[in-house]
This record gives sequence, structure tokens and C-alpha cells, in this order.
Amino acid sequence: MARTDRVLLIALAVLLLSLLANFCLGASGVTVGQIAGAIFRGDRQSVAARIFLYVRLPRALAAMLAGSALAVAGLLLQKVLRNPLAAPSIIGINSGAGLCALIVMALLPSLTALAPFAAFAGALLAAFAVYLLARLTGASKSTIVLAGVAVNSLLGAAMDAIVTIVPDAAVSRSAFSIGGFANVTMRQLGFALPFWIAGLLIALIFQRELQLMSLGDDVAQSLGLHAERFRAVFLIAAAMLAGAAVSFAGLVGFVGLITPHMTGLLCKNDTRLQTPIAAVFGAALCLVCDLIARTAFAPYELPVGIVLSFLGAPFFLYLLIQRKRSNRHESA
Amino acid sequence: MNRPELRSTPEPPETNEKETAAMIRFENLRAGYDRVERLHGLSSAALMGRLTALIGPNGCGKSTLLKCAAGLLKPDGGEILLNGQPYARMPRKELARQVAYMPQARLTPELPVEQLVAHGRYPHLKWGRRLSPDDRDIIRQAMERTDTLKYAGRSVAALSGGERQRVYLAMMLAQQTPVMLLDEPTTYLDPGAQFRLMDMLRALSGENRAVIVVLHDLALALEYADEVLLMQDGRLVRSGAPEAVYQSGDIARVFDIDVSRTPEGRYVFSGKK
Repeated sequence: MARTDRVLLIALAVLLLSLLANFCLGASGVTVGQIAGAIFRGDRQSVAARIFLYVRLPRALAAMLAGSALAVAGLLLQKVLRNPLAAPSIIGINSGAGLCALIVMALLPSLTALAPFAAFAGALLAAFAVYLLARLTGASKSTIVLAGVAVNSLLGAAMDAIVTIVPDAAVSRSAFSIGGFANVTMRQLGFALPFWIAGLLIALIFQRELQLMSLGDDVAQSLGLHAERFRAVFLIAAAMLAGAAVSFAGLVGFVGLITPHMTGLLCKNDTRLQTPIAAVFGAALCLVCDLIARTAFAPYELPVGIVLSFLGAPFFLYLLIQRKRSNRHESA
Repeated sequence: MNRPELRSTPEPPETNEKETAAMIRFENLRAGYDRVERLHGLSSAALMGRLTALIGPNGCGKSTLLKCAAGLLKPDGGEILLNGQPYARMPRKELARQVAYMPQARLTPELPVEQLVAHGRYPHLKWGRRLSPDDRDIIRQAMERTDTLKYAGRSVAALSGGERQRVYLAMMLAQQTPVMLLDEPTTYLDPGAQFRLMDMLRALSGENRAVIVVLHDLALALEYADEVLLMQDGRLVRSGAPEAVYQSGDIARVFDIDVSRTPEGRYVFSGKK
């Protein structure tokens, strides 16, 4: 079996195990039998079934949806903008989604169902703003990230302004900006789901085109790809995914930046299955971190963003060092 | 400022080759970037089965011409014809099945060599876009021919400049096009690799392809090419067999250098005394 297929299988196994652990572990234990009862025997009444159905399940689904969405969004951005630092949390796409979702949630609390649409619109606006700015200023690799960082801080300031002016807004600024999967309802997930599906489908169907984009516009076009058209398609898909995640999970950072790199390093840059592996990996990463956030210091709960950084960053650095070593090995 | 006398000549110069059909023909081509015109009505042709070298001083429009020929730059005027068919009406994928292009500067993606070469099959893929066994054979042959099979699993980014270029050439071969365009492919190669590349391009053109290559090395151009196009300031100054272009004295004039030939037939270039 090729290394890449192995990586995908291992990632799927980790995902399933952590999903089960997320269902069972917590302030009160839920057994596998009780979960089966809730799913297969229509048990809606027992305490365990209610914990599973109304607390653990939505939360785990939220972690999986957000993790996979942000990871694939990050992969799309890194390929399309050809910049390893491009990620929805860094170049302002999450902030754009957050600002628009916040506006809806804070100013029009009766229209919360619109939050995913607003988040998608905001993400899309931010993505194209960054892209246009980079083009106007000569789209060098660093310009895109610089423009993104500027857009990001502008949008962040706008979010702070809204929270300051409307202090009794339904959402809490700090919970929103750190991000997390607690208190996510199935309803919210349902609104975000179409965006997640659409974005992921685009990313999966056009994997080959995505890989061609990383060769540069001239080469990609000489191979018959409409580079500009696909850049727009992938930016829209990234905005849908980031918007879907932000609309219920707030500003979860880091997953979108490191997951694509992790998959690249683990698969030795074999790109065939990069998109599905990134999706599974992002989902597993968020599940594991959310589990730790809930259980490590129970009954206190850590914000998942903190766990993501504490676990993800060292693992990422380890992979980078590993690569350096194995490269030296190869050339020796 | 046009050259009507060139436009009105319908046939390319007579040659003794069997295949003399013009593969690519430029007709009064005007093109440029950011509203600055770089090609001012250029007319010429590149033939099947021949290696055509494009030479001229920096900024004369060689790369612009090649980009137009690759379909990457839309002309502001005039026409490019491929086998008599105007480019303007050809879908991008169809063009990519006819014309392969290697830019002067290439990115070095973190990607296994084999997968980069496989991208050459992209314009040939049907809707499922899966590689067929035939595609895999073609990819393998392209890598064998360019001696890149031994790097198949390594990352393109981990190769040397010369190796990377052979990998890109393998990708072009996998594209299986009758026209190949290369923009200064010899620039970063050591002399041995330059000669090997030119030998390969000659062999490729011999297999009924039109190969157009931009060269800064005049000796390579004159020694290897079947046809030389000498450009200056966005115009074609002279075209023809290397011998004829040399005899015309235009090379010395355009580059402002001295050109001579040794008794063995080697070209010698030196700065103006």
C-alpha cells in the first residue's frame, strides 16, 4: 500500500476513535451501548441518550465540520495564492466571515438563521479583497500575506467596534474570537451544512486542477487550464468553507494554516489524495483537541483554540524538523 | 511601419525537407503588456520538422512572441494560425493538445517528479480525468527519454536546476504536442547539459514537430537551428538558414558585435573593437 493511502487510513482511524471518545468521555460517562440505544432503538428519554443527542453529538459534529472545512479552505488558499502562509485565519477570511456573522447576530438577533449566509458573504468579500489588493500591488508571494494581514486587522477592529457599541449583543466577543464548539446547536449546523458540502465538493472534484494551479499560471494555462477562472472558483469554495465554519464555531484559527502542511509532510508531498486527507485530518485534529479541552481540567473547560495551539504547534514543528532531517538523508 | 512585403508572401521559404507545411504562422502580430506594445506587426512562420531559434537583444520581444504562440498572451492585432486555424477560435484545451510551452522561469513545486510529468497529460484527459494505462505509458516514456525516471518519487524541489528542467521537458513530452516552445532553456545549464538539451531538441524536431526555442547563446543557435529568426525592437529583421542569416551581417549589426567564422566553420563572437 502506498504511503499516502496508509496516511489516509490512519487519519480515518484516528477520526473514528476520537469521535467515539468524544461521545463517551466527559463530565458524565456515556457507554457505547447507550449511544447505540439512542441511535438504533430510538431512545430519546434516558439521561445518557439526551446527553449524547443534545450535547455530545452536535459538539462532535461541529468540531468535525469546522476542522475539515478550515483545513480544506487553507489548502485551497495555499495552492491558489501559492503562499505557504495563506490561511483563512491569517489573511482575513475568517475575520470577514466573523464580522458579517457578528453584524447579523448582534444587530438582527431575530435573523440568526442568516448567519451562515452572512459569514459566507463576508468570507468571500475578504478573499476577493485580498486577492485584488495583491494583484493591484503586484501579486508577489509576500504581498498577498501582507495585504491579508492588513485586511485581517481592519476587520478585527470593526468587530471590536461592534461589540463595544452594542455591548448587550447576544454573542460574547471573547468566546467568538477564541472559537469553540460548545453550545453549537444542530440547527446552526444545518444552516452551515450546504456551504460545507458545496465547498468540499468543489475541492474534491477539482483536485487535479488545484494541483495544476501550484505550477504557476503560465504553465497551468499552457496545459489547458483556465487559471483565472479556477482561481475564482477555488476562492469561492474556500470562502464557503471558512464561512460555514466561522458561522457556528467562531474564529478557530491555526487548523487552516497547519493541517495542509501536516498532510503535505506526512504524505511526502504526494498530492493525489491531498484534499480528502486534509479534510479528515482537520476533522480529527479538532475532535482530539476539543476532547482534551473538555476533559483535561474538568470540570473546567479550556477554549479549544488554546489546545489546538498547544498540541498542533509542537507537532507541526516536529514534522518540519523531520523533513529537514530526511532531506539531508536523501541528498547524502 | 509594417512589412507588407512579408505579409504578401504566402509560402515560407523553399526547403528540401518533405514536410514544409507551416505549423505556426504569425501574421502582422501586435502584442504587448500594460498598453506598451512590444511586437509591432511581426510576420513569420515556424515549420514542421524544424528547429527554429529565436534570437535578438534583450527586450526585442522574443518572449512576448513565444507567449503569444503559447496562447498565454492575447495579441492586440494580427493573427496566429496553427495549421491554418486561427488561435482566437481555439479552446484552451485544444490548444494545449497542439502546443507545449516551457517558460523562462519555472516554479519548483513540492511535488513528486512523476506527478509533475503526469500533469502533461491534463489536456488529453476525458471527463473522469483519470490516467489510463496509455497515459501511464506515455508518462513513462517521457521520463525515460529525458533520463528522469530515476527521480520519479523525489520531490521536484529537491532536484538541481538541470534535473528540474529535464523534468519539465518530460512534462512537455507527455503533452505530446506537434509544437514545442521553449523560452531560454539553456540559460542556467552547464555547457554539457546545454549541448545535450540542444541535441534532444534537434531530435524532437526531427520527429515531425515544430520546435521554437529562444536562445541567448548565438553559437548554439547558429550551430543547432534549422531556421533562425533574428528580432530587433519588436520586429523581424531577418529569417532563414543560419548560414544565410550569418552572411547577411545583420547579427553583427543588431547585437553591435563582431562575428566571424573559423576555418572549421565555428562561429566566433566578440565585442566591438
